[in-house]
Amino acid sequence: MNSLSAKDVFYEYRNSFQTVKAVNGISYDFEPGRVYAVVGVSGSGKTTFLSLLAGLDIPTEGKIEFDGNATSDIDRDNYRLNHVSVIYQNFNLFYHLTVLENAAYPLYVKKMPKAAAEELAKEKLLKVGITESQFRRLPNMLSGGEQQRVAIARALACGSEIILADEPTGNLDSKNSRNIVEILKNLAHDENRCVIIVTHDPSVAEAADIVLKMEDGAFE
Amino acid sequence: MSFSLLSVTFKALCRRWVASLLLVAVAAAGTVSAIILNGLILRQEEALENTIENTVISCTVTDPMGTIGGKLGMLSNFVEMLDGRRRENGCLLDDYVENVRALSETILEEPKGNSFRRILSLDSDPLLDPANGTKVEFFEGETEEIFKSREQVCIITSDIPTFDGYAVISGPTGEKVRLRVIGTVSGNLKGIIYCPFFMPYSEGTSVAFYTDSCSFDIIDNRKLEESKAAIYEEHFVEPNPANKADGLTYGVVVHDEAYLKNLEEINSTLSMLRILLPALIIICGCIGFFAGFLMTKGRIREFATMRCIGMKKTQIFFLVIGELLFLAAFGMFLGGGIGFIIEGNLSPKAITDSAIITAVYIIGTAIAALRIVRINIMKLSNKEE
Repeated sequence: MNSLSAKDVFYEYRNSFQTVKAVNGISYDFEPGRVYAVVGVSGSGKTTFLSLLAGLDIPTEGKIEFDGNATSDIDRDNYRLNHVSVIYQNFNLFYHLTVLENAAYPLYVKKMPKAAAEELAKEKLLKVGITESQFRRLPNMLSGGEQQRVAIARALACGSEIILADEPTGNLDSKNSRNIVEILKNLAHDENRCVIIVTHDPSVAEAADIVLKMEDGAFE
Repeated sequence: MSFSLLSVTFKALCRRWVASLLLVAVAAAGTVSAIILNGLILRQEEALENTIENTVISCTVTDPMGTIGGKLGMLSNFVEMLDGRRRENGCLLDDYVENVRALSETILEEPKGNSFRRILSLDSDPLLDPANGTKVEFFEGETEEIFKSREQVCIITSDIPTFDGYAVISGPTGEKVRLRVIGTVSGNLKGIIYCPFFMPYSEGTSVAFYTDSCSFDIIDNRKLEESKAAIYEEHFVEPNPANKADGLTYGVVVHDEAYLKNLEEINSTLSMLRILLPALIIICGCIGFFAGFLMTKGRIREFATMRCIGMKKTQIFFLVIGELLFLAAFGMFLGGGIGFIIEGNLSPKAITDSAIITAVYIIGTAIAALRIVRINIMKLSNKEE
């Protein structure tokens, strides 16, 4: 299993008025098979750090390494397509595609034949608790918890070793939150994936194997 | 790009049917408008061409003051000039005028009191107009063309006596001449003998005589001004009450008012349509431009998600352009079909204009799609939809 690590990572947001240090010298090695919870107050840099891990941008200083290669040196589109998936609080599903098409979308991008892609997507959807009768529905016909499951199924269909979740339960009730956290835990423990969750929710943090508290852009 | 990706993209396009329909409608409306407007321009151009080609501009010879009616009293030499029989003298009016109609009437000594009329064609004398109940019948092998010649022939009313197929006449000069009868004039007319305008009484002679009325048509309406300039150059003048009659110059009234008014109206409509067409292209193009731009801009989060999944910028760019090309092409074909039903045909110009409108529309989309390159996917985690 590939490893993910942060090596003395700094990140600044700049505009014409100010420079904000969002990530301030983080070094950490994330291991597969574990659930990490990154907690901290708003503005502490959790989401920015998660986005750097996802390869959405590169650190201002330091580096994020995947399998020993800095994300600044690799094809980050390929990295996101094949090795890392992000789950967002607002799900970020395609609202004009069905549940099944949403889950299979990364596989279409990978040029997998449609039938094979949908077969794999069905398997992942069933795994996260989406029933067959919901496959042909559009996302806005589902509850928030179900939409988040579709987002997780999409991440699973990619076959990514690293699952990054940004407040995945932020829009869900407590029952659905527990279910989602359970699914993420199972992914880490049963399928040896590295799950990193950014959260405010103490119950989510409690369920994690390792809790990393972030303050002013750095781990305490 | 995989077929499965194109397939779901197409499905999404259908599910976003309101937006898709709007973009199709913009392209279709632009195309239909371009076709209709081009059709209108084409019809106006045809009307202009027909007016120029088919309008007969007639000219009436008058005295220099412009008096119409009564006996003109113009020497037949002037008719020779108009008819091109005096080219050797440098008169080139027959390059500009045609269908010269001329009539000269003499009262005969024999058959006494009858009218002897020289005509260049049957329509030189209004009395021969079939609308007046008159019918001219030529004998076998004879035609109206003979009136252009100098032959000693005639057509006569039924009351004129003939001798072995000839009519014998004697004019005021007393000289007798036998005219071969080549046809008859039936109807209400009595006591009239028609012969070719330039017919001499004797072989080889040429006698000038007075013309009672003369008119002609302009050959080529496209050269109207040039023709008028040629007519008014030497022997004829533009009628003016201040002119004096001298027997050497005559007036010519060119009846071109209705023709010029028609041309002005058609040209004015054409000018308006020719301004409207580029305006339409710009307006439709701009509507398409902004529609494409706004539709694409409203999908930034969707594109950011695609980027987050691992799609490359170029893949997304071409996917968006492909979607819009499809909608624009569909709209153009739809508009083309509607335009064809309305107009009955599609001119190459209309197709070109429709393509320009669609191209402007696609450029708008392309510019919006280029924003994808600048999407900040770090902001994808924004909690607001």
